[in-house]
Amino acid sequence: MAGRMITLRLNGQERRVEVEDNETLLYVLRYKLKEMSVKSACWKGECGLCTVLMDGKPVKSCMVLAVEADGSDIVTATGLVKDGELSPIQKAFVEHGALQCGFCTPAFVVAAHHFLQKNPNPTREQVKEFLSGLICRCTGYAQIIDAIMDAAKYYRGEQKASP
Amino acid sequence: MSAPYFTLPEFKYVKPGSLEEALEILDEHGEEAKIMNGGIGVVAFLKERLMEAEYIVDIKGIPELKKIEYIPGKGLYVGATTTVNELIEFLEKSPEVREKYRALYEASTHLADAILRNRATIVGDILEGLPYMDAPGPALIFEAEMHAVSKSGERWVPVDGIVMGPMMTQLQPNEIVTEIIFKEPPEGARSGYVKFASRTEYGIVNVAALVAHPNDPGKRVVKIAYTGATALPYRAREAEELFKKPEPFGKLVEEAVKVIQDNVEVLEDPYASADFRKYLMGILTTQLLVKLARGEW
Ligand SMILES: Cc1cc2nc3c(=O)[nH]c(=O)nc-3n(C[C@H](O)[C@H](O)[C@H](O)COP(=O)(O)OP(=O)(O)OC[C@H]3O[C@@H](n4cnc5c(N)ncnc54)[C@H](O)[C@@H]3O)c2cc1C
Repeated sequence: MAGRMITLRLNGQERRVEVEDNETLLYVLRYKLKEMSVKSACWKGECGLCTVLMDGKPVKSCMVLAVEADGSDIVTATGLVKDGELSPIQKAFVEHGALQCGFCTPAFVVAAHHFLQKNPNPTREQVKEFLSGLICRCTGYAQIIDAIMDAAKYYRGEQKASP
Repeated sequence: MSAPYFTLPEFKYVKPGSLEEALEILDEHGEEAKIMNGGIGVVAFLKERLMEAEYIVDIKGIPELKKIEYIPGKGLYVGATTTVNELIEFLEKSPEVREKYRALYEASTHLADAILRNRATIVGDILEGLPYMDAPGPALIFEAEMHAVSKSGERWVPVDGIVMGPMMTQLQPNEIVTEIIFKEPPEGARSGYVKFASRTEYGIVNVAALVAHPNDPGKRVVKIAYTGATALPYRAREAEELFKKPEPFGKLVEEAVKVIQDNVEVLEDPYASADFRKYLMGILTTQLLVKLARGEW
């Protein structure tokens, strides 16, 4: 089968890559573009650990074809880091110990970043409901929810990102 | 690499930019072409090797398939490629429409998860045809119809009866659904949705119901539909008819539940036994109808 070239913006950089029609976006991001923050786990849309922002919205990249992403803007957890400094949501995860093994963390931070941009004043219930498509097997979620609730203040503009 | 869900079978991806172009492709390739909308179901079925396709026809590039419009007196029109999250956002910005279509709103906010809902569509959810889908129940109580277009014509197809099984519908392979209408609910109606899910996000019994004028037998309207409990979406028409009798609402609820439990052919699977499903149908339906009648839902 002949491949085709697609172009996408990955964390602000234009990338061209040859893909097959039957390759998923997860496969191409992780194994062709070597974007290792995108985790590969269930491949069935259940765990959510391959979540990336596609044109500003979180999607589970194992359920998207790479060809569908032609011309789109993709942001991963790596893209939240600015000039070598973690973003507020990432710092909040560190401060609250919102991870143990860390495998799910990139998906949680990138999804939470989107959620807080849209909803900077959430209730704990809303955060929980939003997280229902992401699976963490270490933390029991309490610290993750704490971190997101805490990071919300940056999205409300109450606190500047850098000290 | 050969993890079980790693690869998809081979197919050719096409993304037509207009409805005419899409209809042309479908007409030419017939059964060999499969429509992809949000793709959540299509990608899953391809991965599981439950579906084959020579051509995957992505309809997300057809501009007129994306719309949401409420026309008073007629109903709520939702474009085929409108995602579940887009519908939720629309309903949250229009509280009056949301109240009219409460059951649809509640089902949408419980459908899969907040991330998948950025891709999943209402039309795709109904047409995928697995037992536990959340969108068909509300579609049945709002007498929804889908607008199907092909090169040879167009028609409105009632959602009730459109699905025949997983990825099997009454639609022809060359037909594209452009939109779905949820009809204007009867005057004074309230509606609601209950999803009972145990281990997974998939409901083992989902109830959608609508009640208008519960205490006025002459004007009373009740509609009840299920997914999850039965292999195909199920509208409990026989039970609905009972509510035309001039008897107190509560007594009729009891009778209706019995009729449903006696007549319905329920699923039995590792998630729940047939008996448990029937039991849940009784309890959940009673609670929902009574709360709707009291204005407490
Ligand atoms: C982890 C997980 C959890 C889930 N949980 C739930 C849940 O709780 N509740 C629930 O309801 N669903 C659930 N789903 C299913 C998911 O919501 C559906 O797969 C999705 O809504 C289907 O919509 P789609 O737009 O992706 O359709 P697609 O996958 O693109 O299409 C589905 C079917 O409809 C056909 N089709 C689509 N659009 C058209 C059209 N315009 N004209 C003609 N044919 C068309 C396609 O050919 C295909 O046969 C879950 C899925 C996953 C992966």
